[in-house]
Amino acid sequence: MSAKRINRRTAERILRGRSVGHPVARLLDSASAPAGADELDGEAEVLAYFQEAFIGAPVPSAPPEEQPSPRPTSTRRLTARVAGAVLAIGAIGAAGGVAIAAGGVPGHEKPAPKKSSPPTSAPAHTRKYAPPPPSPAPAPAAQPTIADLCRRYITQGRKDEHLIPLIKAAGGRQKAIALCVALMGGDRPAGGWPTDWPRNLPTDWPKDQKWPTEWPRELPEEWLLPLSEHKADHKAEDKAEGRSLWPEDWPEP
Amino acid sequence: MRVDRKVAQRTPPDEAELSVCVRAAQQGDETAFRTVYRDLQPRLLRYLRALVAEDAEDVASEAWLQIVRDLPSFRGEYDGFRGWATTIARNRALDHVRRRRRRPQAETTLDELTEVAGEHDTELSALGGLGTERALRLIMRLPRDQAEAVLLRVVIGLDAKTAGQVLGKRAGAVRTAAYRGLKKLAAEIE
Repeated sequence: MSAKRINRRTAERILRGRSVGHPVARLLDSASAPAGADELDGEAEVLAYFQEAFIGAPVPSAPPEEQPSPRPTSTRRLTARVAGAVLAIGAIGAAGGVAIAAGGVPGHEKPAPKKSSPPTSAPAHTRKYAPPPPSPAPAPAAQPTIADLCRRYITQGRKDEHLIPLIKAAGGRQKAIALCVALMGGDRPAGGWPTDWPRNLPTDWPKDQKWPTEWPRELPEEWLLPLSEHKADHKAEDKAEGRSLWPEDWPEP
Repeated sequence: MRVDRKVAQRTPPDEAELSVCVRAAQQGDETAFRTVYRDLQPRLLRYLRALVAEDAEDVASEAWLQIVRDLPSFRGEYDGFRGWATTIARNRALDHVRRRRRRPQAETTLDELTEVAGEHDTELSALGGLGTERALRLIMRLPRDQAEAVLLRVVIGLDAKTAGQVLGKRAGAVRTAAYRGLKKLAAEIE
């Protein structure tokens, strides 16, 4: 075979970069040569966008003390989980979350009052398409974790009275927090699943329970978009993304 | 999983390191993201020059914004990430051509893309290095399916299966197109 002839095997070797000396291989080497400086001109702009997009996102080397999940979490997902945690804690407090923990229903069927949940959406920066201005990135906003919200509701919250049965059944506030985190986040508690949950349900359920009349308001204000704005925002986002072009085989954004 | 700066500065990082970098970048590690960007951006830019000529940098910029935004949703190793990012870049190129021609509802074909790129061959001079420029020009003379197959496999570094996913073809079709493209290139060189 001439050194310059090319068959399928040679072609495959050239394409995989394992063929040396063939003229086509040299040409392809040139085509995939190391980057020139001008090819990285947009780096600062893209990095600035990256910084902005990941403000407040957990970094593995410095996780919060009670970070509920080591998995990568987008801001949008985190928002949804935090909102879910708040609402579900409210539901636990109202309907007797001990029943869930103990795997039974104590006959206390009064449902939680139906209130429209506060509209939540991702922070605005996750929907930006234009690159951010070159000015320094704003300081990261403190975002409450699920654990923070659980702790606040169990130890400091105004709805503490609704959580007393849960705390009693759990045998302490810390276990109640761990259970809330596990239930809301779907993650294994840091100390493992509790093994000493009480088998017997408490008998001292509050009779004259003051059910919550409003949902918690502790979420950052900028997350609480009016419903109409929320919908319009998503419409604009869908349009801008051109989702119809998204390949079927790749994960949905 | 935080990536050491030494890893980011070493060139070129291998596939395993880049896979680690992708995972770290998904969790907000800027150093890791920079490493991924520096590996992938030149490849994307060269591929996009074949599709949209002088607008490649703008399209690449748009693509990176989407890559950053959707980064947490990606699952897989670096090979898959390259394919995923290239698909985003290619879709952005299609969008770009549609916008430029002011036919938002029209179906843009790959022939149109090749035609657009062909009008601006000389813009490749913006690429550093005459060898790279000349090589890319030769590749872009190929029929568009062969040129894309060769660029995806050589410049982006995708395997045939992933390149097929980017192009919406079977792996075998990509192999055949690349093989024919290489044969034509060999004939031209000779």
